[in-house]
Amino acid sequence: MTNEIDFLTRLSNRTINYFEQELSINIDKDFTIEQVEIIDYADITALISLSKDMVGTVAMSVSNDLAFKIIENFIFGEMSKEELDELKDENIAETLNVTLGNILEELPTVTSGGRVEISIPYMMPKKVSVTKKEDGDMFICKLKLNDEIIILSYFI
Amino acid sequence: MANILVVDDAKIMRANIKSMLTHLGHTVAGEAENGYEAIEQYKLFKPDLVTMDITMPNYEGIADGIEAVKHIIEFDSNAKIIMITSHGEQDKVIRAIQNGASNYILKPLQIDKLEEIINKLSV
Repeated sequence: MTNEIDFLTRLSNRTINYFEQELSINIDKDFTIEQVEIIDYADITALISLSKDMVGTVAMSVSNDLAFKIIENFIFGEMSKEELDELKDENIAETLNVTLGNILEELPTVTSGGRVEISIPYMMPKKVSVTKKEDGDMFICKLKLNDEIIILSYFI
Repeated sequence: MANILVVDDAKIMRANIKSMLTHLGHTVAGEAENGYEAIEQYKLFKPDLVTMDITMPNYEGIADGIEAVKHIIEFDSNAKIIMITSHGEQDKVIRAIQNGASNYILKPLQIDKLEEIINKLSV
C-alpha cells in the first residue's frame, strides 16, 4: 500500500505544481490520499493504464466548468468558445498524460531499474462510478480549489 | 522562417503548437494525427521541420512517432524532426534519436524552448 500512496502523492504534488506553473490556477496544497471501495467520478474523466513493472489505472476527473477553465488557461493564442468546448475533454487527457509522464522517472520502480509504460489516454464517456475489484485496491485524492475539486485516482 | 509539419494525436496539442509556431513567425505546412499521416504529409509537403509526438495510436502499421521518424528519414536523410515527449519517455526519445530524430522537447511545451530548439536546427 505504501507504493500506491507514494505514487498518488507524487502525482498530486506534480498536478498542483503543473496547475500553478502552467495554468496559473492555484490548488490547495493540503490533500489526503484515501483507500476507498468506490469512486464517483465527475463529468469528464481521463484514464491512463500503467504496464510493465507497475500496473494499474490512473484517472483525472473534473467538472465541465473546471475543464473549461483549464483549457482557457492552457491554450496559447485565441480560440473560440465552441472550439474550447470541443477540446476541453481531450485537454484533461493531455494534462494527465503530461503530469503522469513527468513523475514516471522518479518512481522507485523506475529508479531501481524497472520500467513503467503508460498507455494512450482514454476518456470515460459520462459521469460514472467505479467499484473496487474483489482482489484489487483503489486510492483517491481530491485536490481542492475554490468550490471545485480535481479527482485523482489509482486502482488495480 | 521555417515551414513546419505538426504531428500529434491530440487536436488540442496540434492547435497549441500551431499557435506557438505562427507566433514565432513560422508557417504550418500541415498537420497529422498519426505516424502514417505524418509520413504521407512529409512526402507531400517536404517541410523544413517536423514536430513529432512520440506516443500515438497505431495506424496503418505505423506504431508511433518513433516508427514514423524511421520512415521519414528513409525518404529524406536530411529531415529535421523534433520529438515532443514527457520525462517518462526518455528511453523512447533515445530510440527516436537512433532512428534519426534531431532533438526533443519535454512537455509541458514552452514557447521559448520551442524557439530555442528550432533556432539550434538552423531551419
